[in-house]
Amino acid sequence: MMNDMETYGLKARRKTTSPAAKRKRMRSVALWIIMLQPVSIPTALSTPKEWTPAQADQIFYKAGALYDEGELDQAIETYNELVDHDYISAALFFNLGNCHFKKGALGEAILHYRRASYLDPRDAEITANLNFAIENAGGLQPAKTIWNLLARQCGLRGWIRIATGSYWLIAIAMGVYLWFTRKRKIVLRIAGAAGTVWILSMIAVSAWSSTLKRPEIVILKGPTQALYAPIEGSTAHFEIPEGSILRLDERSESWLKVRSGKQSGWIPNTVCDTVYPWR
Amino acid sequence: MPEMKSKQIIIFMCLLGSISSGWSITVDFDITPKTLRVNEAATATFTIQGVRSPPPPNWPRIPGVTIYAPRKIHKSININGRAEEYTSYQYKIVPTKPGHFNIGPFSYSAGDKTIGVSAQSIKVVPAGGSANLSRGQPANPTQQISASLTTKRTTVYHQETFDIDLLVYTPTELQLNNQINILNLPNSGLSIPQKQLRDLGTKRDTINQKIYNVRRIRLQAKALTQGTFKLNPTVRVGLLLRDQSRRRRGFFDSFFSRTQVKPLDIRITTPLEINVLPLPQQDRPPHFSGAVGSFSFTADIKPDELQTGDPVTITMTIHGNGNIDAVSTPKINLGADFKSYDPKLLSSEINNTQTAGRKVFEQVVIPKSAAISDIPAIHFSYFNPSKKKYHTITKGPFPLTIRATGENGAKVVQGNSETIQRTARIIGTDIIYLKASPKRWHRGAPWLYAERKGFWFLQSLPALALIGIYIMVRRRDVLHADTAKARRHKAPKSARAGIQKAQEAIRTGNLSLFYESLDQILTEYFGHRLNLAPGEVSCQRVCRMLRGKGLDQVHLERLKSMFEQCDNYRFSRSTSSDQDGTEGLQAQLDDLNALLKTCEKIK
Repeated sequence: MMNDMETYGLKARRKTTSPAAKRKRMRSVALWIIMLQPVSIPTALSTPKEWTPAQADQIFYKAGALYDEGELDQAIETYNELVDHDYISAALFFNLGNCHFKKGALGEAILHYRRASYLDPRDAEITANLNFAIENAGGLQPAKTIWNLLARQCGLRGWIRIATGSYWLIAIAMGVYLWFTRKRKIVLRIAGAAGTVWILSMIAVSAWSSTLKRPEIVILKGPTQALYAPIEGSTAHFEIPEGSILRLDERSESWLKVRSGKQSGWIPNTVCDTVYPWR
Repeated sequence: MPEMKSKQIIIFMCLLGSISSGWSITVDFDITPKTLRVNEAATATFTIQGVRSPPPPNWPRIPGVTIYAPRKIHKSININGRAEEYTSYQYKIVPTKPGHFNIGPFSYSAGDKTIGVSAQSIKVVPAGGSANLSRGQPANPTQQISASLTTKRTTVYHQETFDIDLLVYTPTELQLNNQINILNLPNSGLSIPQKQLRDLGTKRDTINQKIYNVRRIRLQAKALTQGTFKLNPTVRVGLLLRDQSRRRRGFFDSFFSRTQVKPLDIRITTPLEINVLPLPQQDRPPHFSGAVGSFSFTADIKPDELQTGDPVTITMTIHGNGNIDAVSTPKINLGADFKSYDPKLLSSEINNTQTAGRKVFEQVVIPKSAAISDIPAIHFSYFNPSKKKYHTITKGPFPLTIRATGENGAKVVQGNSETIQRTARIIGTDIIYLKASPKRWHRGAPWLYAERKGFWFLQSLPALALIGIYIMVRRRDVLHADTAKARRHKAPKSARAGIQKAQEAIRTGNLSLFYESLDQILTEYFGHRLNLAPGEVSCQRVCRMLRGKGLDQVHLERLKSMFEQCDNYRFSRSTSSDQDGTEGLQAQLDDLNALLKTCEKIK
């Protein structure tokens, strides 16, 4: 841009070379430079020293080694560094879950296993450890509806891709259907199949979206009592063991209204954590 | 020296004995048929073996039997590499009166040897007026041919197999072919498969002084259900009839038979009643599993010295006569000390009639502890219908020597016959170990890209493209349907081509090309614009149509003058002098261009 300005300036001032013109030119250049700074400076300031994926891998292996040595707290701290640096993976949460499980913190373990299952719902090891931890904790589990079962066949990212792909396929098929007059039946069948896939994928996406909007929370300190009102000392409604997975209905200051099936109650936000977002 | 001599004599006598034993003479004497009519010839055959060029036997005189001169037949047969010689003397003997005749015994002498030959008896019946089909005097064959059923056992037990003999009586003057079918056998209760018929041959017999050829067929029957069954089947035979026509016999007629086969159904003279009794309940052994007949049973184990957990194979063999096909492996009462596997049928050899055979079974068992000392006895029970009682054959117990292994408790190992599907024994449970490495890193949540504007912009493209395609297709369809509209759209394009051509003509100063282009512009543009065929485009018509569409008079006059100028040049090659130059021509072209744009604006 600055080169273009210089070129423009030279072109415009080919005919005149007076000092006044030069000063004017310099002022306009300076003005441009100043205008660009708000874009460049904050960008430069807001970018800390980033890890590369290779470095993230090394941190990951280091945490694994600490786990093997029995340094569970340090391993948890190392894994959390990766989370803080926005390096997320299903394996990371899985290993965090293992660390917490070995420490005896079943609530934390279930929380991280659940996070891992969001990223890779079809991983059998994640599902096995999650179920094992839930079984050991004896906590409440979310209701299994057909939509959730459909949604769990794939992660949200996968369903978005499927929906996008089928949508594009429908559009292409309809375009071919409109433009050409031959073999329309085949095109319609393709469009129908793609449409079915699109509908199913959209259902799954909406199920995921619902989960993200009304996130799941995991009880970390239990057993805890769900109260009828977000007031300390109000009547207890039902008890929630540690490691229970519930849905968040509402927030009110430091209270969360959670639901388990048809029962709902208020709990302090200090005894639980949301599965997503994870920071 | 005397001792040497005696030894030599003994050796010589032994040799002589061995040689002379090969010089033994055998004489065989037979007469066929043994039942015949008066004046019917029979053949008596003397067969002598062991003598070279034996003399014929001396016949005694037999009253009532005429014996004719013999025919000598000499045969040499190679048996196992050794040549054996036979000499037969065949005599034709003709009885002249009815009765029983004993022919023999004889003393046959050959050289210095004399051998006794046993007598043969023949039965002679008077010569009857029987039908002779060969003389062209046909008789009713159905009346002369008959059949009957016989059996040794009319009372049998359930699952017992027994024989039924079918006898077909045919007069000697008639001939039947080999085919025989038995129809209307019972569908249930008794199983008499026709595939298991056995032909026992044909013999002669006399019934009421009449000689018949009796063909005996043996049927294998099996009693399937208890009850009384009446067998009254129909026997279908093939009667051979000679050709009775008197036509000339051709050259080849002697080579080919002139007989026809006529199917004939014969009813059984007396139906056969079979009673099938249930197996007796009294004294029925607990091990009885349905074997009926006469069987033998053997059993063996291998190995008899083993370690705990090693398999032992028990081999059981059952063979005999009866319903061998239904015999199953004897059950072994092993108890809880053994782990046993299902027994297997190793081999099954059963005859065609399913009445005799041999079955071999095998069962693998594994002793569970070293305290076991033997495999219990094995019992096989069957019912013998001829003795009308149950028999039980017991084999064992079979002693075992079991050595304990070093481990505690029994060790169950894989059997030697089949692969065993086993599941591991769960000892404890724990979480699955860490994941070695991440599959991929996500920067934040992996689905956040769907929240970006760029993503949604991309998703709008297919919809927009679809709308564009829809519009284009609609336009295409409309233009296909409306020719006038399609041509109207084409008009400006055709005018542009003509204008470019006119511009070129102005540049090159080609007057002819210029007016030609002008004419082309007018014809093509107004032809498309007003949907006129090329020949229909004329100044009058175009002006009239444009006037109707609302074009003002000024433009109409200008248009008229354009047409006139083109016509002037085309027909007289003359133009107005002020328009011949480049500027004049350009002005005309510009004028035309403006006129066309005005025409475009009107609907």
